[in-house]
Amino acid sequence: MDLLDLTAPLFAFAANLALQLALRRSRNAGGRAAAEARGFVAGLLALTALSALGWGGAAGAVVALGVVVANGLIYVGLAYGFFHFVNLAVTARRVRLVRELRSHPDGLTLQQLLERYSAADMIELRLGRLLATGQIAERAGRYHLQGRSITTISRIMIGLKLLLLGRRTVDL
Amino acid sequence: MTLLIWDIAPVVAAFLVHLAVWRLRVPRRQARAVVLVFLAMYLATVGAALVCTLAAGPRGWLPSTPFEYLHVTLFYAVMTAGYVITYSAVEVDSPTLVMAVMLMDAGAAGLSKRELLETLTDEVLVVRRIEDLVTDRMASLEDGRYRLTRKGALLARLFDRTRGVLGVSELGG
Repeated sequence: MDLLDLTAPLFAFAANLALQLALRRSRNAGGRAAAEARGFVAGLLALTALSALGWGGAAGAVVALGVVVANGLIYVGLAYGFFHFVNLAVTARRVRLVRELRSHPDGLTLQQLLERYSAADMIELRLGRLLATGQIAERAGRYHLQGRSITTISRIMIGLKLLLLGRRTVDL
Repeated sequence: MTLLIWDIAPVVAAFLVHLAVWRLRVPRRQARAVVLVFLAMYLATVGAALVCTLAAGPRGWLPSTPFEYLHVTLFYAVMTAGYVITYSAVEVDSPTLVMAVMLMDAGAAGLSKRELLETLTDEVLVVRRIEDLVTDRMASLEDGRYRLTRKGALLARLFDRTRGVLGVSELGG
């Protein structure tokens, strides 16, 4: 284990971030999801190149393989964390609410907050995002699940809730 | 392979302890408790290994160099952060995932916007989150008006900057 082994996933993540930011700034076709996917692949390529550069050495192939697997997991973990951080910035209710309050230093009543951000607004926004990414479809005014990823994520979250809390749903 | 095992084992151990604690009693401030459990398990595993190495010298079954300990720490920190982010969706249901589950349960019939709104009301989706802001001291309620506290203003500024850097213009939420 040397400095290159230690920092390889960080450099790979930096490459991922740099490409994502460049694509977002250039208003690339495909939007956020495409920028995230391309950034992830770019980081993975950078990690592969750095791993090849530092492969083997005195420690041998088995040790090097362990480092490569661990660094791959660190890179995926960093990319996953950043993906969720961006998601929070864009979709989290708490973030939307504090941003609304920030733009009104004198404060807002509950009614005023609901005029700016209601359940109807939220559902409209989220249905729009799910439709845009092909996760759901609208037919005759009714919404249907269509994408596999949202179903898979929902099942994983239900599984985690059952495992940890013994309940399928918790609290909205 | 010792390093890979030392990367993964403390994280798995922390998750098992977290699971055991939650089975006994789910803490009130869950996210904070998850962080504390993972921090304690880091000290109990990696910290203990470091003390052993410092006291008795390098051993084959322990990480031995500073780079290896830094690697184990980086791995642990990244996995903990990823888990804490994921846990936020376990603690409080995401409206998008709830909508997905409702649509999954509805099957081929699907659901209309009105049917979604019958369950996902202002009270359920917004008012409880506003109350959480007060509980978590990000906002205060005085004379019927909600105002940001310093902590809430810091969060708002952080995400405003992030959105600026990312070029996000949509209102979001």
